[in-house]
Amino acid sequence: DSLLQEMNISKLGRLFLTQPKQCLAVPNSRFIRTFPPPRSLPQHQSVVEESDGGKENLKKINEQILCKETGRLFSVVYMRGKQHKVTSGDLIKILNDIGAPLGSKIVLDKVLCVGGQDFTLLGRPLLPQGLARVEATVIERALNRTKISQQFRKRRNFNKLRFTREQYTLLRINDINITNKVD
Amino acid sequence: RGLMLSKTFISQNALMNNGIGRYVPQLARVTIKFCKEHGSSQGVRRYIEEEIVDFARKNPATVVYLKPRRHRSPVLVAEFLNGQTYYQSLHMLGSDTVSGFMEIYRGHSGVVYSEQGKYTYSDHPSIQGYWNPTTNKEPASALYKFPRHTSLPQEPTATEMLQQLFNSQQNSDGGAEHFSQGEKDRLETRKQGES
Repeated sequence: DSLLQEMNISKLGRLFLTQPKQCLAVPNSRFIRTFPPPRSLPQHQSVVEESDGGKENLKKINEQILCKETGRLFSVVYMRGKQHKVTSGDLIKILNDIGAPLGSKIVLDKVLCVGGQDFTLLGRPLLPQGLARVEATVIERALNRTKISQQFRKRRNFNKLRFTREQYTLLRINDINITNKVD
Repeated sequence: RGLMLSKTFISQNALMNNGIGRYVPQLARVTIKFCKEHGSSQGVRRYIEEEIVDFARKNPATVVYLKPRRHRSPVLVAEFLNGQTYYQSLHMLGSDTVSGFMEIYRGHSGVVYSEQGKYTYSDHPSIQGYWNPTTNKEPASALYKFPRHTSLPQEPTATEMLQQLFNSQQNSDGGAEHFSQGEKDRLETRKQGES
């Protein structure tokens, strides 16, 4: 307990103390204030306190979103039981037949997380639908290389060979956009 | 072919930024070599009668050639924009299977037959910057002087955060509003003793 008092944990908990929301906006500055600043500093050094300001940060985040100054966005997308961290212009190989025809444009709806350089929006576990829009194109639908599954038991004439070629889909992520303001 | 399997990255599957602006089908030319009489080409012949014209019409980017060769088993030769050639034997296959193979090569990128172990590729793997041991650490930690009479500062643990949460909810006005009806009932029964 004395440790906690000394630590003077400032306002880290504030974001968690508000009513449970579907989306958690986390600015990238870490606001853990620990020990009081050292008494004697050389002239060229000064202490800059990191401020929490939850509402101010939300305003800044929304400004960036509206003016489209977020920069390159990344998102974590849930697809077929797996999660992929994704930016625009990169490739994902999904070991399944998605069902979408070749060359078609897809919207990846299950977005767990979206972020830019200055902020991240974390969903619990998903972001509200329509907040972030992740668009992709189906580039390739083909078969993987042959894989052999073999069962062999010696001296018993037991040898089962199975050749499998699984279908896969290659997606190219075109765009990631945040469409609405964040509450 | 299976023993000396090369490893490639999936960036090879999408050359020339395929898909960023527009999707370009990678299958350039398809040649079906078959025999007009032999039984092994029966499925191929049926496919040619029934489905190949539709395929050619639906895929204007692909050129379809038919090459009848006597006394040889049927083969599909797929040539791609990156120069790769795939030979697929259609010996004794039915027309369904043949059309299946045509679909597969239609959607293939022409990448070399290889093991592709990594299922992601990105030109921009890091946006917020790579982690190094000093990210998320206080810059003042560079000024610490040792020996220290107390331990180094640490983030609150998950248990501590939960305790804070609980305490704040208990203390704040309308803390009970956070609970659902079922939770309230359960709390009441617990208070009274489990009866």
